[in-house]
Amino acid sequence: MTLFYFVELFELDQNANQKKIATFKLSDESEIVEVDGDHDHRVIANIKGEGIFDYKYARPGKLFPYDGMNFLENLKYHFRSGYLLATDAREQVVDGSP
Amino acid sequence: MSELPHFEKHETPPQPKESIESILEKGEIDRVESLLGFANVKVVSIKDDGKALFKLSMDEFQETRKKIFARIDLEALAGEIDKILGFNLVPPLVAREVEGKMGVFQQLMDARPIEFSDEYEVPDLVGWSDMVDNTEILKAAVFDYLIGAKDRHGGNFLLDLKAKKIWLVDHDYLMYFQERGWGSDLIRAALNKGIAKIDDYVVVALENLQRSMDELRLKFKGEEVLAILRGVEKRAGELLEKGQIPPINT
Repeated sequence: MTLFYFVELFELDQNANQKKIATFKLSDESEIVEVDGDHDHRVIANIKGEGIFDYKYARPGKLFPYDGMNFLENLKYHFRSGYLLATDAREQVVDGSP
Repeated sequence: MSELPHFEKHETPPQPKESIESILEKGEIDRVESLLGFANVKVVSIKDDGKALFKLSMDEFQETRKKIFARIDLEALAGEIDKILGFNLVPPLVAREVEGKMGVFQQLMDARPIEFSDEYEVPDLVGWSDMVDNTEILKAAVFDYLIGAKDRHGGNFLLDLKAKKIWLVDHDYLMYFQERGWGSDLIRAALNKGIAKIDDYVVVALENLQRSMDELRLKFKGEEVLAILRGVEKRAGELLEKGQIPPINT
């Protein structure tokens, strides 16, 4: 069994409907957040390249996917406008047995 | 001769157009939909008058630091400063109760965060700053410099590409990021494009802001907000003295 933590990111379209554009995932076997979604989408390219601020602990510097859980936990503060909105980090257990 | 009743002819006078703020304040709410996400944001349809985003005055992040946060105050402060400057950068907003809870009620703009650019089929080498007017970038950079914005990134400024215009949202963490944060992408864009020199229009706006500081201090209470206003006043003076946005070290 593998434990995953994940955050979903939604954008608001011109009709004010939400559309999921990415899922950020961290497994308990890895230290790097993986991104499911269109990697050419500017949201994803931007966040991977530019990073995000550590809102939670206000530590200096930026956080990137390789920062693991710290990155994952701060997405909800970075994307909070409504036009882009991230969920809290949630857990999911995946049974890897055949 | 008996006097006939006198009937005056009344024409319906033209009704003054209702301000957006007034519609936001009093417009009849048609429908409220909660959005998926951590921050408590709702899309509210106003009967016959478009849509607004409603954000609770506190969320968990603010709750844990509630001594230094007052979301309505900060969003309203940003809106008021923008109004005095006459920059038209902050979407119209009011404080309003929705479903029994107070929050910020802000017009939903027909604009998107920079990351939405894909839908406009923008060539890869064209950046967002090439797609809006330089005057918009300068105004937004001056605004961010004034308020000490250190949390301005592609997720909290919006582009209206048809109008080549910028809208600024999410000023709720303003107080938290006075001393920390990484700055403003808009200031960086103005500096990178070499358009950080303030023009006559901005000079007049800044002078107007300086004259309005007492009014702002009366309107917004609380030591933290007053500290922000002291910073605004100081930086307005610096801009007028230097004639441009100074380089940043972030």
